[in-house]
Amino acid sequence: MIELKGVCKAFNGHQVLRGVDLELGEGETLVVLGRSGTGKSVTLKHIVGLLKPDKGTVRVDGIDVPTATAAQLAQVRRDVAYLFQTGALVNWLSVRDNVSLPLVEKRELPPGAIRELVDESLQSLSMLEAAERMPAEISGGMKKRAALARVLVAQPKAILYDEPTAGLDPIMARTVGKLIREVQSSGKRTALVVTHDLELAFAVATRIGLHHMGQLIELAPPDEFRRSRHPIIRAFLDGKDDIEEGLTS
Amino acid sequence: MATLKQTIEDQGRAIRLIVAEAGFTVSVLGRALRCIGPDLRHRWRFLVDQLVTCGVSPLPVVCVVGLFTGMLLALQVGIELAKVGQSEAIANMIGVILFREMGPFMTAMILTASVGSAMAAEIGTMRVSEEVDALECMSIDPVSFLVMPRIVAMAVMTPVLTFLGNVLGCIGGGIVANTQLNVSPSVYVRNLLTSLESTPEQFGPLPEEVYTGLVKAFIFGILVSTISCASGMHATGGAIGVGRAVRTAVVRCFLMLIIIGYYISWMFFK
Repeated sequence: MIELKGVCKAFNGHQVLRGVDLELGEGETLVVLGRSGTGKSVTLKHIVGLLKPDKGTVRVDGIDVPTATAAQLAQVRRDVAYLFQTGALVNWLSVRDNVSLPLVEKRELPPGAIRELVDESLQSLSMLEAAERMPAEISGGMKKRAALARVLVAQPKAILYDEPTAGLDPIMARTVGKLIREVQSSGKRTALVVTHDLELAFAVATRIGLHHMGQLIELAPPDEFRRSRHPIIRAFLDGKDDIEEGLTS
Repeated sequence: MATLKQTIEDQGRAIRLIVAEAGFTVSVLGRALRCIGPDLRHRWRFLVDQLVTCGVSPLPVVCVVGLFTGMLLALQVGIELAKVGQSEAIANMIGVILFREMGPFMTAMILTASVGSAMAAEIGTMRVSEEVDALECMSIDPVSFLVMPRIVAMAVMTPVLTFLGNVLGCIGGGIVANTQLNVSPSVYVRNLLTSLESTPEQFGPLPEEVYTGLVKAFIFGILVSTISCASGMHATGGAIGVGRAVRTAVVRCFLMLIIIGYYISWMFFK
């Protein structure tokens, strides 16, 4: 469904991606681990066309994203939803208005049907009580859930999760992990999760990869990944400060 | 030699950046104008919010500035006119200066400082906190969603505020003319109306002095909102980037108001 080949991207001369290769089939949950600032989010942004690669190809369901027409890009963005790290809720709209936004903007459903779908989505994430509150009035975890409700209401085929547990306390992080598992199992959706949260990664993944120095290394099922002898992966899993430690040990 | 080359390269980069940002601003305006027709009726709620923001929030400042601009004009020009025994002409001067130039310019300056800067900050914050990216990911055009209602609201409210500021300026000028220059209110009002009706060009019931000022205010409204929103859309790099976007917006608005204002006046009164 999603395919990246040799994707390179530099910002102001700083090379962030150095040939990322990735293939993600339907119904699969791929987790990309990696330290902060290694280009994990940049990879995700290429998939929904927020960034264009300097080199390489990005395809979603056969559509070449960087050269897609406006209609094709709209199709990609209908099929692939993006859950932002901060939730990225529109701060002057209530939780309900935020969740209904993608449906209201599509202008295909009557208000009653939209309300029903929004309530259903909020209910599934235990957010119905907070529906009339503004984003500034709810906690970080609630913002993540509201953002997930906004993603789910559009019924995408695939969801890109950008650091879904970043900035959350361990209990809330586990709750979000559980939510992702539920979403994946209920809708048989494809998912690409970028995180540095190992607990979340091993809980939700069907395959795990490590983003390092602008490339993806060792894409493998969780158990295999855990047993990997790759020095960089070992350093990351063992929580060593410097990747060099992993290479020398 | 190397320093000279470096300087030329730096200047070239700076010029390229200015041209690129000017092009971006024009493209934002083009996109906003294109989506007024299909999208405006879906954005009425936000449009009403923006009409209130652009029209009601700066109202006290516009009133005070308008009143005192008229008073200042009357005082400074009146003193000189009194020296040549032409105190009564103060009304003509105030009418023409306020309605043609000062009114639209002062109002646009106030709106730049109070509303334009806020627009740049709001959209800039949304840009750096990925809210604009999130809109794009939902196939929502950020220009239609965020920029177009703001431009429409400013285009509507700037002439309204300008007219109000002009009227208050005339009242302020009348107070000073009466209390300090001994010009009677009836003479002041008569001269004021004569100055505004003296031109043969009319646009409906509006004399040229009034409608040219309102046209100018309308263009200024579009200018301020477009530059401010485009600066916000271009923001990068967190809080510093938002601060930079606001500063850029305010400086560019001031510059463009004075430059474009001159050319509009030149077009109408050459």
